[in-house]
Amino acid sequence: MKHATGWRPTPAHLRAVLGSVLLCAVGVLARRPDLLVIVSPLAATAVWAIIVRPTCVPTVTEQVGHLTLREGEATTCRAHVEDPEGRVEDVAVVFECSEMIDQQPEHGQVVVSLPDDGSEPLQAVIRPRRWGTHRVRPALVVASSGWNGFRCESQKWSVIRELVALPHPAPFDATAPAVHTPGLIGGNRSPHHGGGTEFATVRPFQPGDRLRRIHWVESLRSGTLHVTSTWADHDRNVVLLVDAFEEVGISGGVDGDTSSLDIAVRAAAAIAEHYITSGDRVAVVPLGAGMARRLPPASGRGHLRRILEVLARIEPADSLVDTGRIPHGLGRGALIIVLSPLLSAGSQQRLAAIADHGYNVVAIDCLPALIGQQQPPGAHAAIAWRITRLEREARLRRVSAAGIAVVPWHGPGSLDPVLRGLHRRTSPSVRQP
Amino acid sequence: MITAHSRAPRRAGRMQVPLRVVIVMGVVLAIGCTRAAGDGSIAAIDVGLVGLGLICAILPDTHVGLVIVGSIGINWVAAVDNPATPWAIGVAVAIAMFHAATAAASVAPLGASWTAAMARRWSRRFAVVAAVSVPVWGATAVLDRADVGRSPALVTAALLSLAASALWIRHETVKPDHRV
Repeated sequence: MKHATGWRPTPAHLRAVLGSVLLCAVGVLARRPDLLVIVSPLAATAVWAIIVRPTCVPTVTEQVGHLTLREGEATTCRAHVEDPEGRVEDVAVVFECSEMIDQQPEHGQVVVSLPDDGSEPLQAVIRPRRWGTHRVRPALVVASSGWNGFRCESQKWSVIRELVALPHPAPFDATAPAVHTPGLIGGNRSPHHGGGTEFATVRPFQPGDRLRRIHWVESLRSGTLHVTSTWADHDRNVVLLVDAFEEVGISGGVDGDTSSLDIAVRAAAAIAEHYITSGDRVAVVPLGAGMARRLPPASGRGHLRRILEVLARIEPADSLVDTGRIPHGLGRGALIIVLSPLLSAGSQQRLAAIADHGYNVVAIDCLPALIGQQQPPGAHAAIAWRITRLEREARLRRVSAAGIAVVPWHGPGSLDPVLRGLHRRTSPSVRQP
Repeated sequence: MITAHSRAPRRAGRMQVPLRVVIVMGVVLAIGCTRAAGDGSIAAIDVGLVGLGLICAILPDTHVGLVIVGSIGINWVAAVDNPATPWAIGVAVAIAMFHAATAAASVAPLGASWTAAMARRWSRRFAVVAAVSVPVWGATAVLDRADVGRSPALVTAALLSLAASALWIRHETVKPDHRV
């Protein structure tokens, strides 16, 4: 709640007062009563405006419907003007938001007649076009009295609200089995035999096998004790490394063009949502991402919400240089998914270092397809971009030669071929799932 | 005009363009009535007034309007000799039209759309203040016929009442508010 600054005369009122007084004086001194006729409407408005001048300062309340929502979703900004005296006539409100927020009506400008229309229409629908944190500045509320004679504005030092637009996850699904992880519990089939539920084979009895596992039919037929063995169950530990050292392309929001960081963040959100829904643990490590902090691996819907909030706070690094170092504490046996446009040498070094440490790593190429093909304007820029692309292609070849899978982001099934390959590679025996 | 927003709207709101047209029309109507009432008008002044009217249509919340009102009055005194001409009502209506449209245009930013209730209220009030000029013209015509306009007592009384009115207006305009 905030108070307005107080009633002040407007240029319209000064025009009416000074215009009528001066012309009346000229008319009297010059003996021209016709000037009194000319200024009579002006004098009438001046007197009228003074008679209906409010003396109480109205109270303004502002409200934003939801401060956390998905990009592309809409919420409502409202302003309510309380006028105890009933002398406020027109109220204009300008809702001010950052540029990546669409407003309806356009530019959030609304005006109503307070006695006739009430405060209800003083609202604007705002819709963040892009994930991230957006600032919603206090609305400028201007109340006018009769004949726009006096005006008061709301104070401008109110709190700036922060609207968090969570990334809208791209469609994603993965049917590939899990790669090797050291967990002992979970919903995924392990490549190892163990105490699970899914049938693996019938094998001879070994010391330590449980008696309830004895397969009596096979034991009677063969004359030696046989038991039913199962695949162990385990959970998956997925670490999402989001490379925010560089952002390539201009984001047009959820309905427009995508930048590399758009692809990375939305893909990370989709992957996180998929694996958390499957009961797996997901960690997020933003690289060079300003205020965004890393999240340790955990599972559950609450953790998914935390992941989306961390992703929404990612900002591209402006001055940081990618040294290619790998972050600490990635977790033993985790599946590392690196989301990067892979334009810098640092990103390639990091990939190689992660693979050298024995992690299962998949790189998702987040360079927008259109940017990879288009030519920038200007001869020098075109040559520079061509050199950059050639360097990038050479790096990608080296990364692939080192056994690291690099896949472009295509949504559903993007990771399936790679994950199947990793599953086969980490399995103790070759078998078809 | 409320100009807090950093971005200019691509499209003007409902009623905003007609209001700006009325601002210019008020100035043109005042010039037309002045020319019809007397033949002492100077074309350059008229053109200048229209130019100021266009500026005022773009920037209604400025003091350009005061310059226009003053100029119309002075132009009238210079161009018209007959104090009892009914064309004064036309100029009064034109000034009322100009003032009301300018005040109305500065109530809201350019992108805001007026509601129907606002349009009705402003139209009603314009009609009331424009009608004030008719009885005032009648009174001045009577005074002109009675030829009492040159009486020193009347002039002194008029100046005193004008000064008293100015003092009252000043007091009412700057009096402090109280908060609830």
